[in-house]
Amino acid sequence: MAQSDETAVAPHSNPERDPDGRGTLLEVSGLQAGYGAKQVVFDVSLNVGAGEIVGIVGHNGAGKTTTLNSIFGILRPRGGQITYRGENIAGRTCHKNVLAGMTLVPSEQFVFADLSVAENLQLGALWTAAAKRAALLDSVYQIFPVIKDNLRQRAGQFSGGQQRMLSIGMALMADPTFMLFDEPSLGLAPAVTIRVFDTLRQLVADRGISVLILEQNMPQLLRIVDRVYVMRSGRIAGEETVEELRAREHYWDIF
Amino acid sequence: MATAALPFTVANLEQQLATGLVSGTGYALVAVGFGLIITVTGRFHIAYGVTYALSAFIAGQTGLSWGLPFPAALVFGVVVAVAVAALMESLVYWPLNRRLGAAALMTIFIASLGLSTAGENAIALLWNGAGGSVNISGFAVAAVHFLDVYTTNLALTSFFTGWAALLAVAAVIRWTKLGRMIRAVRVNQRLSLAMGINPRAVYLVVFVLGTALGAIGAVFTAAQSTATPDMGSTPILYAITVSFIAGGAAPLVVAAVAVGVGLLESLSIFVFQPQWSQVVVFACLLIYVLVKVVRENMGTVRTVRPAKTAEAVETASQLCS
Amino acid sequence: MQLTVSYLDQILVLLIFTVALNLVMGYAGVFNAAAGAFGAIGGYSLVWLTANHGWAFIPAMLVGVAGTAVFGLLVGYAALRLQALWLLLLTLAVQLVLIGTLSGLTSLGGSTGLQTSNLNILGYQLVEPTQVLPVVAVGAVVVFGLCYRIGESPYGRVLRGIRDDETATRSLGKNTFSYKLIVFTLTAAMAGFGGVLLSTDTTTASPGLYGFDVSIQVIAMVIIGGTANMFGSVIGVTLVVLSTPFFENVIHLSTNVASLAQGLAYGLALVIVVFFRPQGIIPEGSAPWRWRRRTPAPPSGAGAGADAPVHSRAPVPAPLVTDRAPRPGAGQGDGGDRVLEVRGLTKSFGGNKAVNDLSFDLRRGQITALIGPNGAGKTTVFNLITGAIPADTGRVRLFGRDITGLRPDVITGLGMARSFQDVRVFPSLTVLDNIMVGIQDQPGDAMRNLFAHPGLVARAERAARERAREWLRFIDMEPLAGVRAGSLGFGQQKLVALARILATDSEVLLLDEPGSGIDHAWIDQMIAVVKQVSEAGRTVCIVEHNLEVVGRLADHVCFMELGRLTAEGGFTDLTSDPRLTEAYFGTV
Repeated sequence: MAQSDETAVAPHSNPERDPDGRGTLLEVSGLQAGYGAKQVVFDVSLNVGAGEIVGIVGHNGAGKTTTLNSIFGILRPRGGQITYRGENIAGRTCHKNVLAGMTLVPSEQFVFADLSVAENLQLGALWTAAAKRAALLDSVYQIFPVIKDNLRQRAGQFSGGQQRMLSIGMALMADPTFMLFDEPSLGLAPAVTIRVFDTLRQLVADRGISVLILEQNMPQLLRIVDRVYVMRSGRIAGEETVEELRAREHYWDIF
Repeated sequence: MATAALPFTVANLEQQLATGLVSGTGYALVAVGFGLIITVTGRFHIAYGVTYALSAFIAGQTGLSWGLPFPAALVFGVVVAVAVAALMESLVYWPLNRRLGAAALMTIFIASLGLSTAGENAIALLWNGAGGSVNISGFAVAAVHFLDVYTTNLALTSFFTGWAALLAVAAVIRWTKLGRMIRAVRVNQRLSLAMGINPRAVYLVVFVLGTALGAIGAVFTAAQSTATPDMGSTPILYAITVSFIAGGAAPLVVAAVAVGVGLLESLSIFVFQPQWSQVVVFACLLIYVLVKVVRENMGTVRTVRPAKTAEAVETASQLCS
Repeated sequence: MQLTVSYLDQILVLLIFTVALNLVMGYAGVFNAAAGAFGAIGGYSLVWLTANHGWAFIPAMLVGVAGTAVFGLLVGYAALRLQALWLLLLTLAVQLVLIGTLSGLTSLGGSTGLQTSNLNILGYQLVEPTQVLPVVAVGAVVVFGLCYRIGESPYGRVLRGIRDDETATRSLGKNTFSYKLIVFTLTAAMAGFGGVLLSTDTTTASPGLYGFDVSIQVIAMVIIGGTANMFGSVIGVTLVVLSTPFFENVIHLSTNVASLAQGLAYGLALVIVVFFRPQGIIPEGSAPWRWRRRTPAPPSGAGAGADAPVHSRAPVPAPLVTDRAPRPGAGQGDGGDRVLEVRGLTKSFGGNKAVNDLSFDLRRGQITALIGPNGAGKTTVFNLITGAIPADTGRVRLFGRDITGLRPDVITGLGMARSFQDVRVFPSLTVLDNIMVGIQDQPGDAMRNLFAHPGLVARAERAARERAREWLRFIDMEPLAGVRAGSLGFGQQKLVALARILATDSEVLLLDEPGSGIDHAWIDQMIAVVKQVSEAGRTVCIVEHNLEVVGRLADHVCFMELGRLTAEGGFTDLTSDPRLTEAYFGTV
């Protein structure tokens, strides 16, 4: 597998991003979830430590999105435990999870297309304390100048990559401690994907945010994650560190 | 059918315009209210006609029994109507939505049909002793004459109050945080969940706002004639017409279309006899749907609202709560 | 006595409306808000022709029924292509415009309507309720018989399939639009007939008699009594009609109040039924002669072990010999005939080319897999070659015959069937019924045969049931034959859906993500079944994201990228190609 870009970006190791020693942020064990008669997740156990970037890879339909949605509260889990900062959150509403510092950026329809860019950001900041908003807005403008230049525009008129950046901006407005991403590279051109992932890595480095990211684009993912869970057919088929993954010849047996 | 009922003169035109604007405002209240509910929650809440009529009856009865002045009676009527609508959403629609997922849309419509029939008959039963109708007193009606138009202060008050309410709701939707949340749920319910918005609460707010608008219209309409149990049926059918023609447009656009319906109704009297004015409006609905059929068959793929609302309804049923 | 008979007349007349609506709404799933309007056409025709033009009863009745049939055909033709909410809206608009027009026409009596007197059939007076009774009784029995026969026949099974999932029904070779149109027109004519009899009973035709609230009342009677159950409609109508005398004589309310109480009662009943007993008082499939015998509880396989995979395999039943397509020998396929040829297929959505000049073949007896990264256009390919969506350019040939642009149901009839990623079994039909819908060329699929050749239909039905049982034995689910498919686990539903398309006897089977949504034990099961089907000579093509499944199943793999086929060959060959690896997993 091409490892050409490895030297350009050195991954940070855990302890550096977890100076307060917060330990494990999210713990999922024995998760089961599905839609109606269809069970999609049969037994998923994983954890994310404070300051870590953890990835989940696997084929379409493996249950990655279902797992993410169950953690976040969009989907009621059918079984298993989910603990966040020591609290049991299985079945807790999205609202409470957002208040607790979680944000989710979905894989599709990730901006409010009919609303303006500014309104999209305001919706991201719905529950953020008024005092923090100005500073957060400034930082979003800094990271994504294209947002600042087009505040009044309908978000649907942005290009795919710009919408993706807006979606990250919206998530940042909530001042999150834990960000969940569903296939951020989906539909993006390679150059744009690189920018987005670099931005993500920088954010995590600067703010100590923990990240759980679903992806099918392996090379991009490997530039930023610490370790990766492999899912197949609703179960965790394995866990590998970045080094192990980079050492692989191919990924065909993962998918 | 071709003999005009009213000769076309400037004076008559002005009179009919005035009539159309006043009745159009009444239709606008119902259209915006009903439209808000169906575009945000996806529910075909045909029982809207019940809360509409109930508001007028309560306003009339409080004036009658407790001697409340008109403004107080109006508020009372609106509050009761809103409370009943909130109960319909929490006790009937939301539980059905949770239970049935994507299949909920038709079932909720049928439940709404049931509520509509039961409600209308319940009102008739409750006021059966009074002859099945109630008058709204407490407004000292006086004639008003300007240009060539003969109207009443009541009609003018209903016009301005109605538009005040419409503008207030439009402002809330456009400028406030609550309004943004409502629009977020309407545009992309899944993403609104990701923003931590509670759809159940938003649905309730939408039912409250939507019902309140219609309730205001009902009281003024009844004040200009009388309150009857089925007074909601025509306005709600007009509201359905307007909602489907105007689609998910902003409240003031929907209101404008509704006023257009009112004008269509009042001006049609120059061409048709009075009994045809309602049919003209429903014929527009029929033509609109037929045009849609033709366009769909010619391969123009349009975003059909039912698809989006079906997805929203399914999402709502899978939520944590 | 006259009063009792009068109520009986009312029940019988409303029964006609109700069973007709039950057939079109309860069985076929078509929501019709215009029952009142259709009745109005019949009623007004009768009264206007007999009173104003001195026509005799029978000719006037025939005109009324025929007129409603024509009107129903026109409305159905426009309405039945629309989705549920729009269909509802169109029928509602029709109801309002028609009644509003009738109410406005002074020549038809305006809002008071018309009156007729001296109705008689060749001298037999139709004035007193007792005189009207035999006529409405015969009418009700005839209409009930028709609707019952249609609903409970193989034709009715297809209607229920359409109600549960129209796309799936179409993919099983049935022209669903034609079914819906025929039933809509027929039930419209029945409603017209009901209107004739209603106006006979009341000697009037007025807008109030046929208004929207009447449409709602009929809907309520269908649903309260029991959707898709004709006996339920009898109960529903009786309860609603007799509630008025109940309130009058038992609760001692005045006549006026009693009728208000009736409305309140059935409105509430509708809400309560929807909440607590959505299938209605007498549910679908229930019949008086089955009430005495207790239905045996479904075997434990359906409950606790619902997701435990089945283990034993029966051999694949040999396909029935038909003239559908050239029959292969039972040998293994290894690059023999090309049964499906796709050339130059292109499809754009908006500005996006989902499929771009795609060409590939399916060889007889082989299992071919379509794989590719996200957005490669794989699912679109299935939709294009089965005719579910029209291609922009390109040609598809099945057994050498050009099938480009043909309807999905026609293509299934020519020997190519597909499954769906979200399975789409008919949830309220039994497992056996699900499979029986798949069987092609049933005489019971044509309405004419139901009445002209009942013996043939019955014999063919027995043969079809036997055939379906064979397929059930193949997937080892015979004990679950009588279980509602909606209560099965997902893996079981997948097998039923597979048996369903196998029952179409199609040569070519397109399986959309056979490995998705199921646990690995079920995946093993699925792989074994598909292999067995292939070994018996069928040609299989799968779209799959689970590469383990692809590796175990596929004889031949086609790699798609951005709507194009960029490589084909064996699984190991393709997965060792570095360029393909980069294409699939992304580039840096």
